[in-house]
Amino acid sequence: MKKVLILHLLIFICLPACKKVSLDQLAFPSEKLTKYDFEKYDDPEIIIPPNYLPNPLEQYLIKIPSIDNESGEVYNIYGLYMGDTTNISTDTIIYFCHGQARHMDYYWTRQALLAHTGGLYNYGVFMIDYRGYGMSEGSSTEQGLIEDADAGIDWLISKGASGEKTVYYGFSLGAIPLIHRAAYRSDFIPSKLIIESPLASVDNITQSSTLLNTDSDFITSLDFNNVENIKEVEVPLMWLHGKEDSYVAISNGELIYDNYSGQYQEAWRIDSADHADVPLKMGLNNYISAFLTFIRK
Amino acid sequence: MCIILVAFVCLTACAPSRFVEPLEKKSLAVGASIGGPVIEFAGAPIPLPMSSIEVGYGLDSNLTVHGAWHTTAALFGNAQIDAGVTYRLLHQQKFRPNLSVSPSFNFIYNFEAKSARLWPILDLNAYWNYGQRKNYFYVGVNNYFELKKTMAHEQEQAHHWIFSPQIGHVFKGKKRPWQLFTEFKFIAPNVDNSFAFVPYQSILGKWGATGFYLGYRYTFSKK
Repeated sequence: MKKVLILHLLIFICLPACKKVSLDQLAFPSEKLTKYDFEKYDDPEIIIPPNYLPNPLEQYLIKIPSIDNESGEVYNIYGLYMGDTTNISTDTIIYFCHGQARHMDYYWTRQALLAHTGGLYNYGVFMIDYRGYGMSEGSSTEQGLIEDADAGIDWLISKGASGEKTVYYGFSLGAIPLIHRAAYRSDFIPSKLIIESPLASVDNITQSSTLLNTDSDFITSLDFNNVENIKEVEVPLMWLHGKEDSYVAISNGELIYDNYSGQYQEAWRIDSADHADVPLKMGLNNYISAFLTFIRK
Repeated sequence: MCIILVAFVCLTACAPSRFVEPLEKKSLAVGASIGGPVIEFAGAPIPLPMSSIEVGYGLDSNLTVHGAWHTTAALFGNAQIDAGVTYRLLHQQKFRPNLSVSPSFNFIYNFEAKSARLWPILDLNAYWNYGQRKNYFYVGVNNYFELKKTMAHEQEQAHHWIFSPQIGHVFKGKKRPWQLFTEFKFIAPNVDNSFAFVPYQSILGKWGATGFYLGYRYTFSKK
């Protein structure tokens, strides 16, 4: 009996050390879809009043290959372009990377609002679903976010887009790949970068959650560090964040903003706004006005 | 994303107070505990299931040396231990409780990153034995000390001292070879959790987090 007890104890103690568990996948609460509903999706992240979206939208679902640079495997991911794809080489393009939830349907109203900003199709707006989101193949990883963002950029390039006429807009999780690409991709440098409710870094989140100087490696293999990456970004930066953001505290954005040393920066700290309602709490007219002013600067 | 963090956020409160009452001289005890801060998960409050295996030995009737291996941390590729001693400062007299102090440390090492951290801990508990079995309940405070001066991105360390009041009860078996213990911990009740990335739940509202722990211990007596 005693031997059995000791054996069980040894197994209980030793086994966990041999087989490492990872919960990184839980950072990407995506939902798989067999088809997109877009404007018919009934539970969008933010509800935009119809008078801000008065026109039916010309939109194109696009399948793009995204390469896993480590394994060489190719995943078909999906993007949605609002505007005339034949004018991409001459239009100013907003490249929008969405947050961590669900899929493109959930963020469709945000994209539609941007497509109406300054008049219908004043800007072409392109959004992608990362691997594992919506109809996109594969499963999400941090490196995959960057590779998928690159796949979207490659598609824009193939349609004649130029960096000088492209604005990156990253919301929450979407700020991770777009800050990274704005910092390190040299063949396509966007004209401007907009980040809304971004996370500072995985270390900052870990330590603010534990109150201790904890190494994030104790918890996760995620490694993103927007605070460091933003140092390499030179294009003008617009940062928006809710002062009452209960999910990603505004201090995250402050760290990124403080570390930016590029050409121009502006901050919008929005009273009473939580994580996802910055445009609404800011007032849609104010949001649109700030957005246009920044882009036209 | 917060889900990956909630799985391991309770570094400061991943276990109940160890051996509040010292063991009898030359007694050996082994046990296990599970529990952690309560978080909101899928709309319901649940305590995080952080587990550890503990061992203690009575060097003297007033002094027990103890250590624990954190099994949940091991699942994530970490070797995490805590170790220390419990010393009884005062014996119970009428309504005056026993008083024990437990200096210890918590050490964690990640094999992949080759990264380590160490935090000193000091528990102070008052406990009252009652009944024939000498069960006891206790109130006390757990203190964690962060020695590093900065946090990520050179931010100033905001919390060098994290204190967590606690209450608990230890129920002993009829012939006293085993103990069943429960503990509530009021983790960092001075810290506003309104903007915490992890959805901590606290009976104090926006202050700190409430921890809940269960444990079982078997004692091998000297007899």
